[in-house]
Amino acid sequence: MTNRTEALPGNNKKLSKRIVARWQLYLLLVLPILYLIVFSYVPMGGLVLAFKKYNAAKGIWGSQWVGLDNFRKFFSSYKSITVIKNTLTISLYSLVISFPIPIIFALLLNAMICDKYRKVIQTVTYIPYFISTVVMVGLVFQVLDSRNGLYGSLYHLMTGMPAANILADGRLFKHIYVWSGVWQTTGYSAIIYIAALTGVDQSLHEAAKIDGANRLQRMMYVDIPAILPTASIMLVLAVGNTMNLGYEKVLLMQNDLNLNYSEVISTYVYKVGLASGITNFSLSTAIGVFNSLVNFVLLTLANWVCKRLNGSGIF
Amino acid sequence: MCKVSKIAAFGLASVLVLTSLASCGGSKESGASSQSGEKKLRVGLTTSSMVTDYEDNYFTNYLEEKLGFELEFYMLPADAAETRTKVALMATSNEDLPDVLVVDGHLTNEMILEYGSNGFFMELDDITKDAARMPNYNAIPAEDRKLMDKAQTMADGHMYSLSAWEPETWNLTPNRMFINKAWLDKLGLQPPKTTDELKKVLIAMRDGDPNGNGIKDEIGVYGFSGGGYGENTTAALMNSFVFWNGGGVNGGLALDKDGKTVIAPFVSEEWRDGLRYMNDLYKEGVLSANIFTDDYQTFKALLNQDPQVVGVTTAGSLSNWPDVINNANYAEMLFIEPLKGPKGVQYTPYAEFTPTQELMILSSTDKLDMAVKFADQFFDHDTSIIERYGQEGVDWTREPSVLAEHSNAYIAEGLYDKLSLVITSTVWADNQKQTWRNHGPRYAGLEMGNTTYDFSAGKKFDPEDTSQLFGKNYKMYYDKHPQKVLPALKYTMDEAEQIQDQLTTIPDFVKQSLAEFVTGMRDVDKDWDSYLKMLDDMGLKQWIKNAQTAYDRN
Repeated sequence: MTNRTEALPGNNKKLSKRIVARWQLYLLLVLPILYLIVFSYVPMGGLVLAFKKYNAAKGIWGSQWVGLDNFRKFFSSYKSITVIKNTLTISLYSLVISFPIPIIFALLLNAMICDKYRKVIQTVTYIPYFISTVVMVGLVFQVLDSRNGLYGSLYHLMTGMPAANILADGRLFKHIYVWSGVWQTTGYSAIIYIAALTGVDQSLHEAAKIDGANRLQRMMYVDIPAILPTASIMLVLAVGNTMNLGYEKVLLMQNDLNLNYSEVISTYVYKVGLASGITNFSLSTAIGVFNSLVNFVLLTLANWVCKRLNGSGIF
Repeated sequence: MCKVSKIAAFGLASVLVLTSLASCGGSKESGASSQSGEKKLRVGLTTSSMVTDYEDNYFTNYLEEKLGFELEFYMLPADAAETRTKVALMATSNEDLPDVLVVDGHLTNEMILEYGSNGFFMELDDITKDAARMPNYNAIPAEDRKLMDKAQTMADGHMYSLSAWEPETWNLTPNRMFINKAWLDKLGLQPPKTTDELKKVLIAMRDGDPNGNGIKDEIGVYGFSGGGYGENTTAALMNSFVFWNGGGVNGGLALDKDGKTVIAPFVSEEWRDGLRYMNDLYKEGVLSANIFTDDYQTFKALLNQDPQVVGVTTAGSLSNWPDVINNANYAEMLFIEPLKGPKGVQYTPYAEFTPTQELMILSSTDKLDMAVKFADQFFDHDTSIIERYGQEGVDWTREPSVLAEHSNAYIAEGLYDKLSLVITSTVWADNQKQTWRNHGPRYAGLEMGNTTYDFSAGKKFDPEDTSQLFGKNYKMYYDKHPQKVLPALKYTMDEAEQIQDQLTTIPDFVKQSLAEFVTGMRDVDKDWDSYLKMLDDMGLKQWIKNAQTAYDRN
């Protein structure tokens, strides 16, 4: 066996030389980088709006500076505390539930002996991911309808009593939100773990078998360590998205009775920035910046923890 | 072999890069033709997906012939938010601009004020007064023109836009109440006239199993609070206690009895009585919490469930009962007047007709005379008809012999003598190139709207037809509101900014609290003070103060 790292040309040479040697790959990289610059980095300049009073006639750069006024406005609003609290509650709850479930699911699926059955399950759980949010929320409402839905009908069948309207109870909002999310994304999120599990060296399993390990022990000592690096990176990525609660889904699921529990930062930004008759882009941007800052802190924290635990993080 | 794959890789990569670059540069061509032809007026026009051709379009050709010059289009998106963005970008870039904008009412008053006061839109105060320049506009009956002028005047006292005046009565009072007549007959009851009678009727419906299936599945009062067209039954019931427009216009603010003071009806004792009443119905099990949680699909499904389960509902559109003429569930329903409350209050959610702002002239234009002539043409009587209905003789007719053959619901109710127009084609429902689909200013008085008959379906007016409610609605609902109603307010930029937060949060909070009080999540007696305190903390006073200032300026 030759040592692969040494076979690579010029690992210690200058960057430019390395680029020339592998120019095809770098050429392909141009496109994604361009994409990131145009759609992610350039718009970031617009964040200055958070510190300005936006005036369409003067444009983004010509508008007047107002310092931290927009932030002050947000924090003095009666909604800010509710909104921040809801965002954190729902996103952390969502993270705690929907992060481990795909891993457990993938491990169980991997332990299954019948190959055909496994494939069927994988496909079936994977399908909900492709349902659009609007349809998804419609489905949830239909199923949970207290009169004609699956929930209402079953409840009536079992107890003979009319079911309580669970959509009317705001406290249940977060559960409905999170668990319908689990239903929709578990199959999709599990794919990466299933892939990682297929990559596990079979000789390890054989060795473990010879040593007398049972199925559970092999899962504990072979499978889990094998997917741990993947899992930690996925965790960091998931934390990076915590504050970006899918606003479409929340907005669609809102009703008069759950607003106290369902208004999150992203829906509030939408209402302030676009939906109200008087649009205030600056305030929206300021709230968005605050959101990103919180998220940034969470992300750095998660990355640091991951690095501490198993030496692999994203940066 | 290696060489070939290298070349292939380079080729592939460069193709990818090039295509991405090419797609960025594609949109420059549209403006190139603007320099050609000095006799062309450049119109920024909000498009409609149902218009298939704007160049070879009956209305375009008609206008060009009337005006004596050609039109060139600068297409704006059909969507309101996209149009706003596009106009904002125009104002920022100040390049390659059209001469006039026709925006289908997509710009808010605040936007018009902003672009008008900073000189992007031309001020039209003097031009509209000049009968020589705008003969058609000045020919509009003075009473209506005054209202149009008022609607066009922004918070700084100037006019930057021209509007479409096309009042009608059907859409102004959408909370039409229906009660299940079949159930009433079965239980031997009369249609309720007051809130107390309604309660008795509902309880009888709850206990009497009027749909005859042996299960207690009757819903008393049903509706859908998120509905935008009269489906919010709680708003209709609240109006038996205090006038509330439903929260749409001005966030639900109203005028006091004196017709001068702006008040918030949702902090009044009457409001509290209304909450008590609805909470009482809820506790009796005859008002469903589903009103607050159901979406439009569920609402419609429940209305049409077999056997019928709905006793009372409100709805603006009869399309909630599909195929309404043959719909068995609708056949059981009876259209009734708004209910009288214990203090004799009998209102319905109502918002004054507000003309939409349709046309602006850009200050940068060098063809002002043409632009003014173009704008004025829309107020011509025939043009106003053609703009909306299409070509005479093809899409509509005013042939006396045809008019005499038809009637409509207003005439059947004795409100008018005869028709003025019969629609003969389905141009409004079709993809077509006959009109711009009513984009543009317009003048069509109330009488004109009420004396047309839509014969496009080939079905003559039948006075027995229970789905023909226009006339009844006019009689039973149109005047059920206080004499003076708060018009849609126009705030100055400063005022708007001060109450931005209130405008977003208070109307939501009011609706949310209404739901909570009615369903008993909050107690009307115990939690009322904290509700008031909450509104106070949210800045209700400031909002009312600014609304008063804006109203007084009017």
